[in-house]
Amino acid sequence: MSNIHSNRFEILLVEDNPGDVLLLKTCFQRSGLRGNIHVVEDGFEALAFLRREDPYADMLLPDLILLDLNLPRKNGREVLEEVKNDDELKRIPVVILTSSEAEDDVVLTYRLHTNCYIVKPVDFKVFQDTMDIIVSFWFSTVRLPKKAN
Amino acid sequence: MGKKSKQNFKECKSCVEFRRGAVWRYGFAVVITALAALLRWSLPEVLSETTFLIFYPVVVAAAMFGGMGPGLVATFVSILFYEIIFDPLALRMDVDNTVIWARLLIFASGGVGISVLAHLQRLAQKHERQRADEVLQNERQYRILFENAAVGMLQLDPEGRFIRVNDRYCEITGYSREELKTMTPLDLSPPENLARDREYLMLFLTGRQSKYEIEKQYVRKNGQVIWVHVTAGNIRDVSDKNIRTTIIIQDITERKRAEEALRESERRYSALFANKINGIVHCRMIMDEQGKPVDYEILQVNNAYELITGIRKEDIRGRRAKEVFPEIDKLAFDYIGTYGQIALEGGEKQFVEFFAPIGRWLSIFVYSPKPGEFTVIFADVTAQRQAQDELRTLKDQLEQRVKERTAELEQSIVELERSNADLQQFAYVSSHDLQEPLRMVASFVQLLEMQYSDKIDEQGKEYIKFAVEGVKRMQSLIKGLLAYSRIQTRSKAFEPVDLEKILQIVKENLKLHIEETGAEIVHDPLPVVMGYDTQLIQVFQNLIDNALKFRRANVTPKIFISAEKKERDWLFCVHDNGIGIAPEFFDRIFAIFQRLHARGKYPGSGIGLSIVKRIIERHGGTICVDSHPDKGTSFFFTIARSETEGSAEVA
Repeated sequence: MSNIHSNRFEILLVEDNPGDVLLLKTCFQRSGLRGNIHVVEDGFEALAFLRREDPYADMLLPDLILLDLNLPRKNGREVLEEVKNDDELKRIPVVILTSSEAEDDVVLTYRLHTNCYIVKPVDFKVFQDTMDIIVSFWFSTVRLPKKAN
Repeated sequence: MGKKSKQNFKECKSCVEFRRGAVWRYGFAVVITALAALLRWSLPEVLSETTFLIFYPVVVAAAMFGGMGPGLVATFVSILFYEIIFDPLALRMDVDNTVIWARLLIFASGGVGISVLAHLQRLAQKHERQRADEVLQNERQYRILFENAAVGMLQLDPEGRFIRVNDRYCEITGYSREELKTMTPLDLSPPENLARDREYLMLFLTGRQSKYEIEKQYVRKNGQVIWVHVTAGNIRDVSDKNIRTTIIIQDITERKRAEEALRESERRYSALFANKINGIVHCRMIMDEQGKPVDYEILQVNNAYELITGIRKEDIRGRRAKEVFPEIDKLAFDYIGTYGQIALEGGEKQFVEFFAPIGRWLSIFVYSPKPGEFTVIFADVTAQRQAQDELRTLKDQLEQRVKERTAELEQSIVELERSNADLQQFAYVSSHDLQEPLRMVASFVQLLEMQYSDKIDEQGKEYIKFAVEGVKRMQSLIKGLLAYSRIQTRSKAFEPVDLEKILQIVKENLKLHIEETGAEIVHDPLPVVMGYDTQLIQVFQNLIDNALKFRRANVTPKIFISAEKKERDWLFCVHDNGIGIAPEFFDRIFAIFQRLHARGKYPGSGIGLSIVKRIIERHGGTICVDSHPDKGTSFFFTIARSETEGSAEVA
């Protein structure tokens, strides 16, 4: 657990539903994550953020991307595909976080090299448990590359 | 010219021969008579009585050799020698003159008689020779005739073989003389006439009939069938006295063809005339100064004409068409022009037209019996025409209706497909989109409960619980709807599915439930069928899950799955010993979202059996239920047997 506190993690949350944003932020807070959660609301914004285009020029590259599939303008599948085809960005773990249970979506996103696929649970308690697992897995269990700075 | 001189020369030659023969014969008579006289003279007197005996044979010989003339000469010469030169003594002696004259008379008359006989004999001989010559001449002429005749000629021997044939015959049959040598006339008969032809020929060859005349068919060497006229006669040949069959053949193919054509046209016309239903009108064309047909005069009509047209003979006979039918030259069809062409140019024409003046459809045949005139034979075909029209109208209407119905159906199909696709899209999308707000409601209500637990009393917590429950149930319903809508999508073709394996998977999926209830599941050997494995898993899983869920309290669930091979399908049955279903609910259980029990007692979305039904139907089968409350339930369903199941079973 010490790792979590020693480093601040950068998380990019791509989610257009403010309710979900609030829920996720609440959950992360409750799970004791020490990090910055950057929220963008559509696929274009997400890619602009990742490529540090205006107004995101000063942003750091995230350690983890939480990506919804149904997004305005550019959907999650397209974002995933561009990220995983970008030499600089493809190393960043992408967690698909969606309400879609469609088998097609699961198959397709793994084919596009998503790192995992999680269906948003309905029950808040289960939702909280799931977020706890994400935090403990990606920011505690898993070893990620050391940052340049 | 050449021939004639030759003839003259021949006559001359026989003339010379005859004369030379006469000199010889007379000379012979004189010489032998002289020799006999010399012989008589040299004989002694004692034999004087031999005079008669010596000369008499001489005279006979001369007569025999030379005929009457030489015989007479010999008689007179011998009398001269005997009585005057060699026997003067006899005259001088006292011999009775009467004896001498008597002897002379006997001798002379004997000689003359023999001479006459000899001459007659010679005449007869000559006559016979002449006749022989004539026959020979005839034979020669016959041969010339035979060879050069314009008709085919042949002679047959008693066995029916060709003795000789002429060039024309070879020409008619197409065979050469050499080829014909090995044949009989029967070889030329068409196979269908062979028996008849053989009978005729045998009748003839055996002499039971001495001549006949028939018309028959020949098959030429090139296979062409021709008609020939055959005249046959049995002739006794002069030279060898045998009976020869001589046959004359004429090629009458052309004539036959003409006859046939004639008969055909006779048949046609006579049939037309004989038919009393046909109206017949005979007319004379009337032309203007330029020879253009402008009208016609009706000369004669038959009874049927009256019947068909309703016009009486007396009213039209001798009248002009324009008088009887004033509008005839204003009709759509040019009757005068058409009839005029036939009347002037000959030929014939057949057509069906509506004849407005009498308001009938007529089938018209027109021909010209002689220039300037024409005969119209017609039949009333109005009834047929009307029937045809009616039929055509009905057919058109029917076709139109079919076309419309097809278009409607096609439209319906398109609409149905679209609405089906819309519905699927709707179900799929909305089930996703509906999840989001539900999740929001449930999550934030729960969050409210957690974050503000100290500010919410028990009553409030109870409310929150119901709100969350409702959301979860809603979600379960939406998931069911989603599953149900997915059955419709046809993404891939059926594949062989081993139901034994399917059942293993289902048992694995329901392992917990099965262990909890201690259920016993037994089953028949299950076949391989064509279908979707994921859907067939849902079928068995839903049915077995239902059997486990609706078990009787304190009774160990027993599930038996049977499989029976029918003619076209497999009949499966999932039988349980559960609580059963009352018959009045049999129909309802397969409808979507239908539940028979309070949620609290038996949880569920009420969508499971409707999914099962839909899957079975998608697999070309049907499903039904039989049940007795408190005894058990049997779900029967069929799945079409696959073509490849045999091999799959072996595998």
